[in-house]
Order: sequence, then C-alpha cells, then structure tokens
Amino acid sequence: MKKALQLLSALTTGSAAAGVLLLAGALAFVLITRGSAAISPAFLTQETREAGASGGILWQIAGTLILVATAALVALPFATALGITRAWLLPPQSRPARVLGFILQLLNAVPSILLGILGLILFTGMLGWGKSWLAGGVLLGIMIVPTAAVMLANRIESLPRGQLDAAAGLGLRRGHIIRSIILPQSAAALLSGMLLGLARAAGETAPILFVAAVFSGATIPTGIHEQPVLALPYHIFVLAQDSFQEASRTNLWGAALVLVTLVSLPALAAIPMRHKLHNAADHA
Amino acid sequence: MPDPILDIRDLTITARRRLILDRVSLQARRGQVLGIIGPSGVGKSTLLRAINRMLELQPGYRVKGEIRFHGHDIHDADVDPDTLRQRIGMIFQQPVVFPTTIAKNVLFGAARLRRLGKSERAALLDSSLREAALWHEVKDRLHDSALRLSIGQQQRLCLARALALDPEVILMDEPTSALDPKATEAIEERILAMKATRCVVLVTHNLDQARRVTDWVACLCADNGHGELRFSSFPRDGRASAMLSETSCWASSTPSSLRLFSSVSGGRRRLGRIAILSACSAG
Repeated sequence: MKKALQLLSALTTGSAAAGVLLLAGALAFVLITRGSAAISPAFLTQETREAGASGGILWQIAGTLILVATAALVALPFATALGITRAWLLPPQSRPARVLGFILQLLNAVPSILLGILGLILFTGMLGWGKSWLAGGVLLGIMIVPTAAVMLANRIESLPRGQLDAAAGLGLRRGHIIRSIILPQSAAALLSGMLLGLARAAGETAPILFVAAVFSGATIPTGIHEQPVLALPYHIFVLAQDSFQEASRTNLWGAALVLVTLVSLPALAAIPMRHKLHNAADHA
Repeated sequence: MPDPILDIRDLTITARRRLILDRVSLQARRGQVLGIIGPSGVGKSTLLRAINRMLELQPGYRVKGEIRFHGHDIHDADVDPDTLRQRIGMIFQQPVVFPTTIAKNVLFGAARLRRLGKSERAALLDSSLREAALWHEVKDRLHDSALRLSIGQQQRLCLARALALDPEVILMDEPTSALDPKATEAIEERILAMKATRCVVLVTHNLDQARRVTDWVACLCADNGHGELRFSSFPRDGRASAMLSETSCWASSTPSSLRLFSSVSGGRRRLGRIAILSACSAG
C-alpha cells in the first residue's frame, strides 16, 4: 500500500514536471523555428516598414524597455512599503494586516483589461495625458505591486523572530530595523517578486492598448502629454490580427522570440544573485 | 540603601484578558543582581519584557501598575520606548548574532544610534568586548563573520553589543540555558563583574546559579494559574535557601498550568518540565 502510494506520488510529480518541461520546450521550439528566420542585426536595429512586413522592431524594443523600466520604478517603492506594512508594521494576524493581504489579493485578481480601461478614464481622460508612455508604465507597475509585495511579506514573516527582537532590544527604531535587518534579508524575495511581475507585465497588451501604445509613428518620448510608445506585445497583437502576409507572420514570431528573450534574460541573470542573497541571509 | 533604579509596583499583566502576572512588586538597585526564579511559564520572561517595553511589540498584552525607572514611570507619555531600550539592555535565552562581522555586531546598535568617529568606534569596540570578556578571543578577527563563533562566544558577543550602548540596566532572560558549563561560567563571571557599574536583572531556572550570582532573589509561583510573587530575599540566607529548595512552588506548576501558559509563551520551552525537575533536585 505504502509502496503503491509512493509510486503514485512519484508518477504524479514526474508527469507534472514532464508536462511543464514539454510545454516550455514546445513553446521554445515553435518560437525558435518560426521566429529565428526573422532575427538579424537589422531586425533589432531598424524601424518597422510596410506595416510590419519588413524592417525591424527597434522602437518596439525601446518602448517595451521604457514601459517595463517605468513599471519597475513605480512598483518598487509601493511593493516595498506594502510588503513591510503587511508583514511587520501591522501586528501579525491582526485585522488590518488581514485586510491589507486581502486587498493585495484583490488587486492581483483585477483583469488587466479593466486596468487599461481605468487608465483610459483616469490618465488619458481626467488627467488629459492622451496616449502616454507614463500611463502605460504606471498601469503595468500597479500590476506588479501585489506579486512583489506578497513575496516580500512572506519572506519577512519567515525571518528569524530573534533578530527582530534583538534589534528592537538595542533600542533601534523602526526605520533602523527595516534598513538594517528586514530589507537586507528579504531583498532577494523582493527581487524575485519584481522579476516575476515584470516578466508578466512586459508581455501584457491590455493595459497599454488604450493608454500608451501605438502601432507606428513613435520613437523615444520627450514628454508626458500625447507621447505614446511602440511596444512588442502590442506589435504582435496587431500583426496577429491584421496581417496576412507571410513576411509579417515571420516578423511576428521574431518579435515574440525577442520579447520572450528580453523577459527571461533578467530572470536568468537574477538566479545566481538570488542564490547569493538567500545564502547570506539564511546563514544565520 | 541607594534609591532603586527600577521600582516595580503592583505590576499586573494580562494577555487577551487572561491574567499572566498578578500585582508583582520588586526593586532593583545599582550594584545589585536581582534574580527572578520560578517554574516555566510563570511569566518571568513576560515580566522582563515589560521592563524595557518589549512586551508591547507583541500584540495582545496589557500592562497595569507602575515600572519606575529612576523614579519615572516608563509608561508615561513622554517616555520613548526606543530610548528606554537603549538604557535598559536585554540578553536573550538564545544568542542572536546578526549575519555580519564581529565588529559590526558589536556596533550594531551604537553605530546607528550615535554619530561615531573612527577612533570612537575603535574605542567602543575595545571597551565593549573587554567588558564582555571576549576581546582576547576575537581581537585578531574582528572582521570575520560572527556566525563562526561558538555559541558561548556568541552570547558574550550579544552582551558586548548591549554594553556598547552603556545601559544602566541589563535584563538577562535565562542567558545560560543554551550554553555548556564552561560558557555558563564565563557569563556568570561577567554578571558579577558588571554589577559594579550596572544593575542586572537575571531570570533563571537554575537555583544554584541564583545562589552564585544574585544579591536578591524573587520567586514567582503560579499557584492559581497565574504568576505571583511568592517571596523575595537574600539568596544565601538560610531561610531563603530553605524556601528556594521548597518544592511546593515548583510542584504547584502542574502540567495543566504549564499547558495553560505554553499557549502564551508560544510553547517555546519544551524543556520546561525537565528544567523544573533539575531545579528541584538541585535544591
């Protein structure tokens, strides 16, 4: 009986792992076989021509980087503050802490298209920004906040209680404890959360659809008002919807390949860094 | 006798409406080691944490009565708890070193709370480590990780870290219960040395330790399911010795009352009953 259970659990775990690997492998295979034909130095350094049938995706890459960087800058302080508030400043398991946790879950559950519409009303309409990179960056930032905040909060909750007590026992103020104990030892979790969120946000189309992205005619923004950007996911979206030319189809997959690479590079780069940070923090 | 540095009057502590400590009154003076003994779960650590207002960092606790520090109630609105904790240092049961160098550990509080020049840092490092009797063991590796120290050295490092703030009172919560006899001896020696200039409040399970290092000992008992002051006296006095050895106090802490308290202290001390047994046999 016990053996059968072990076998069953091994089989389930194994097949789940195989499934995930297969899915990732298939995705990579499709992307590479269909997209690699488009990839060339020119594809990465030229602007789009003939509505995507020729030329490159330089400004789409630039736009996506601008959006993602803005999102990171917007999300980082809020995620940090909310994570620390939920896990440490509010008494653990208290009602306010639970309410804040619930709000974060709720925020995470908001469909991105709804955020897009909200942004349209707020930034484009009420604030009069028109289509602007900043609106897109802020909306993507809002998407990242719950992921990063929850990961940070979970890490803070698992920090050794003794260290926080010892620091408080020395008469260190909250700000000191946050800077000297909490942030150094949970920075890796915050980083993980930010990267997870950013990777998802970089590929989002819905939040930037109405407020930030255009298909052509934009380069580097020089202000806020009516300063849209091009973006990879939006480019892919439009090509997939409207293009019937073989060349555009290839460029679509090429753009997708670039987007996936762009998103996974920082995540890969972060693995050794996270490892190091966690090691340093867990060594106690 | 000089005025007490700490004057605790009718201290009553409740946790979520349950009584933990009932009207405890105690005094501690400079040049004195005040011992607090009693069975596990009787509220000794809770009492200690009330003295530097660490207790209010844990939700659910309510404190009534007065704790006068140099004559002023520490619960007055004009008392800043962080400043109070700099003047009333605390050493915990398990040594907690921060994952950084020995030097940075010693200055962990001081360097953040005061503006220290380079020479001041060096002087403070020197004096604190010397007072904790750790200087000779670590002077050549101040910039090595503190995590490589033995557990006994780590506890003295915690002491040095607290001493770097030059506190008037040092609260010690069973500081030797995680240590071997040799490391215990080193800490006890430090307690006796420190009392020349400071006031030490020592919570201990160990009656022999109380006899060795304390000048006045208060025994908390849990007769009615909550902690009360049973008696306080000179630890080496014949009558006190008899009372310390008297088992009724320890015996009254039946397993049921232990269970009662373990929910409060987070069930943190699984060795509690063993410690009581050894305390009884020690008497």
